[in-house]
Amino acid sequence: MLKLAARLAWRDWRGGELSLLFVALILAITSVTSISLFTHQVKQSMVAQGANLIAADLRLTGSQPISEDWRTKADNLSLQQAQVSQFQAMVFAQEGMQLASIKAVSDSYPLRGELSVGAAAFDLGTVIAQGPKRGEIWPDSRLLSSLNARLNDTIDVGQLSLKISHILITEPDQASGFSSFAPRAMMHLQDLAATAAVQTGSRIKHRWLLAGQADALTGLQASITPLLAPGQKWQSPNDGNANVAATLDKAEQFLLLAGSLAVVLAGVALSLSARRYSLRQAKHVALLKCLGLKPKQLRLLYFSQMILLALLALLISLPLAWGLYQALLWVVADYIQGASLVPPFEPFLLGAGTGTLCLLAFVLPPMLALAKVAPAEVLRQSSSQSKTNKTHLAIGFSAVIALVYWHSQSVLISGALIIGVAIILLLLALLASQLIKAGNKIRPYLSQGGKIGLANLARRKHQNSLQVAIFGLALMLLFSLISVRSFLINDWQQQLKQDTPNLFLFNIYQQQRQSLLDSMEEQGLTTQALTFFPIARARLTEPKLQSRRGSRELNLTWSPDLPIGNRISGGQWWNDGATGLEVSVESDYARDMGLSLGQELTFNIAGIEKKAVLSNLRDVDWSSMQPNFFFVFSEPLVEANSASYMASVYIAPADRPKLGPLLRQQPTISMLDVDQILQQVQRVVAQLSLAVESILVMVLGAGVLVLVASIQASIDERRHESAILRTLGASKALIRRILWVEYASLGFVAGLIAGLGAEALVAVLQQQLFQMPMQFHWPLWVLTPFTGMIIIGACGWWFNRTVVTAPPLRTLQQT
Amino acid sequence: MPNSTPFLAARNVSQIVANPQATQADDLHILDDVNFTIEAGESVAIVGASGSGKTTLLGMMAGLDSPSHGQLFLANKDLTKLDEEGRAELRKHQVSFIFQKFQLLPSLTAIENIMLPLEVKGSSDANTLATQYLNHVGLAQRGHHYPNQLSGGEQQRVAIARAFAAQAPILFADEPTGNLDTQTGDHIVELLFELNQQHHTTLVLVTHDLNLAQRCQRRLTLNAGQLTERLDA
Repeated sequence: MLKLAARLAWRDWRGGELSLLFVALILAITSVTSISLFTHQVKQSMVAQGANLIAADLRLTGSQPISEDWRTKADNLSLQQAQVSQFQAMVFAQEGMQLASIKAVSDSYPLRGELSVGAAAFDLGTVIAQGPKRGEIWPDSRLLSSLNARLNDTIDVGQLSLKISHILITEPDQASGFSSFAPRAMMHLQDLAATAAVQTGSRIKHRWLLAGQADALTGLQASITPLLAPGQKWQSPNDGNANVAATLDKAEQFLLLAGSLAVVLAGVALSLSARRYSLRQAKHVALLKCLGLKPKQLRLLYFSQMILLALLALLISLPLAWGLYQALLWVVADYIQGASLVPPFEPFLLGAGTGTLCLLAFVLPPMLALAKVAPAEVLRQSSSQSKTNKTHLAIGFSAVIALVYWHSQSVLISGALIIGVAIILLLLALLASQLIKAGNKIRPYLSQGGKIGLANLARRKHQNSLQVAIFGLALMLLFSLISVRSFLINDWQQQLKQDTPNLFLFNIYQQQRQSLLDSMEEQGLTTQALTFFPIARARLTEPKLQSRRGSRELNLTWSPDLPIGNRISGGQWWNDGATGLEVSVESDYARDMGLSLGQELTFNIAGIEKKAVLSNLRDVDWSSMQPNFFFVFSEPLVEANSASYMASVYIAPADRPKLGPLLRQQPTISMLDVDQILQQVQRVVAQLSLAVESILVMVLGAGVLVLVASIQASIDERRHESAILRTLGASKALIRRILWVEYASLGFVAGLIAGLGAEALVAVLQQQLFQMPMQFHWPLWVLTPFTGMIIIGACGWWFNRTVVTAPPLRTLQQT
Repeated sequence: MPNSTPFLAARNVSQIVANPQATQADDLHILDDVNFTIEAGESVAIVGASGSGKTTLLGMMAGLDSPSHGQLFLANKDLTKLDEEGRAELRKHQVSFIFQKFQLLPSLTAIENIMLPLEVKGSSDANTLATQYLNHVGLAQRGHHYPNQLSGGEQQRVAIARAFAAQAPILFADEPTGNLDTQTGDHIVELLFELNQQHHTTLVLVTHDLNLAQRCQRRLTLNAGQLTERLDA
């Protein structure tokens, strides 16, 4: 039977019967596998970037030194190790002294990420492989400026004099929180003892950096965790900078969403091609039954054929996907580094699984149903058109749900897609009947081609509803993707525009504000975008929060106006005439801590208790790189003169050398340089744009395949009709016009509905998934109907060209 | 009525198509209480006007469809007692068929179409046998042509070669010369009767062609679903 199946499959293949089915299957497997490989690599790259943020794959932090036993265990597991000890100490240079945060690092630091150094303060920096050697110290720009020191000067740390060999510009595990803005320096760990700066009882933080195989790391972590002292904790790449992590999450969700769309489209194409194939096979099956093949044997025959087809498709698709993935990597080589040469297994499994599921759900049911074709079918003059089988539809729909969920791993994405599909199908059915009515009204005013084209639309009411649904769905998915890409990347890139703040200034007192502005103007730095935020440190005392996060000291601010980029999600922002102290809380924080609107909160601010009513909740965009606060009060919490301020400002690269003199003029002001974080975020965005554009090409391919499959589904009927029309004297030009009117009208309606569906789907995704404000995309409403008309009209015309060119006699003889 | 099972026969066979929008009285009776018996090796023509139920009766006799009522016998087996699997098995070994519209698979070449029944039977020398049959119908040079590259007459000859290749004891033919010119039709008729006479193959054919019907030993006439037999003197 297998031999017969192979022989028949080969003959069908040679006759072109299986080619569309095969191409759809290859496209499904290739797109899913390559997208999955790419997503896998992007995720790896993201984890690597996360690893950069802690300079390791895993990090243990605490105030206790790392035990020798633990280090031996790590050695035995062939893990790379580095040690970092961080403490604060006064440092002295010839012309000054300064309290600085010193990081003493071992030879192998950093295990992940890069160190960059410069020759002068606020240089942009060049990458260096290793930290300072013994006897050297690398002060950062801030410390160098404060000490008024230069390269090759010496700095005393405790009892040890160290030579300035480089200026520290960036370090991978540079903390980006507000607590880490003290001037910094880096030295060698083995010099630490000689400084005598760290004594018993000194505040010192020890970090143990580890890198290597995930299994070994997990094993080590599991064996050491029970032995950890209080205060010692593990940190993984995922615990890195929260802003970057949020961005990476969005990126991953987007790539998975794109992957799901390609699968749905490929599934629709497969389903259509399988339906056409099974319809064309009905006579063959009847004939084979006449020749004595039993239903069981026929089922086995078609099952074997499908298995052979799947194996061949896998054989072609998987290497093709690998090649495509390599091409994608090549495109984004500047952005994704460290791609593994050994292909991960999971994407191939996902691709093969998707292909198998597609085959089982979309292709096999109509194939197996062929065994039910009555042998007497062979005696009939024309093929009886089988009706759409509801069971097959249900199987296909379940498979779509399963595939979308499998690929997105998100109930929300799956739900949004499936609800969108259900709504658009309903709208399509309603609009299809409206189109027919409208078509009937305008038909008398049209030329002959237009009249027959619209009459064809009306005549194939049900079939056209299905085609409009498919075209509309394909277009909706494509335009949703384009819109999502547009708002995710373009809107967000606009948000992170050129003058996004890259420098945060702290410890500014009321009386220093004017002098800071004066100093900046004196140095020729722009002060237009400089915004001051008052800060008071406080603890929330009532209600008492049990979590560590809730009980720690908070940075509070106050403002009469809602901070830029914040959005009220509950309650109301205060009016000018409001009485009593009110507080606005970031909505996620309020939810996590169990705080609710109208609740009275008590804060301890430098020993003074203040009560405030929680009058509103705010949504804060943490990715905006603007100063954001969990708590904003309606009135000042401390006297203006005793308030401390923070400010954010954008410093252009050319202006960076001016920061040294500025900080010398304002020695008490602390600074946090977020340029590195911004560069990281912008790199991810750039990488994402390219990735999405590459994936979009595959989704477009799947969309075109759906068009071709649905054109192929009705081509035999059209060829027959065209032959009759031409026999009756219609010219080729007239038939072309008829086809154009029919397909362009289909495209116009499908595009109109696609615009509506895409707008709705994007609105749901924008609000629910990406937490971005909803926007009305009016170009969609203009663009989609005309795009639909042009794409579908052109595809209809091109793929139906044999309808026009085939000799009518031969067509009539064959049917 | 003898007790032994007949070779090929119909007993009170009726085929009724229900009219879903009317009463039972309005149901369409395609075949109405048809009775006949055909012996092995006979040649029988079924004649009648268009729409009289000839093709339906032929399909039922070959086990391609089941009657609404009555019994049908094929190769000494009661078809109405067999399920689709059983009927398929019977067709494989006992029946070959020539269709009015040839029913060649368009994706297969002429030789491959002829090989098909042999392959279904698991024959190991399908290609050799198919070539012989192709030569027999005078199309030795057209084996690698697809059906759409052949004329109507050539397609019918391939269909006949395919029926011959099945080497079945009973051959059913539905209007075997209906689409052919006189000369080609005559050639095909010669081939059919050669098979009937030389291989003792039972030949049952449906035709409008009176000359062809005259050459058969028996002629069954269908009129509005009812069968009558006209015996030659």
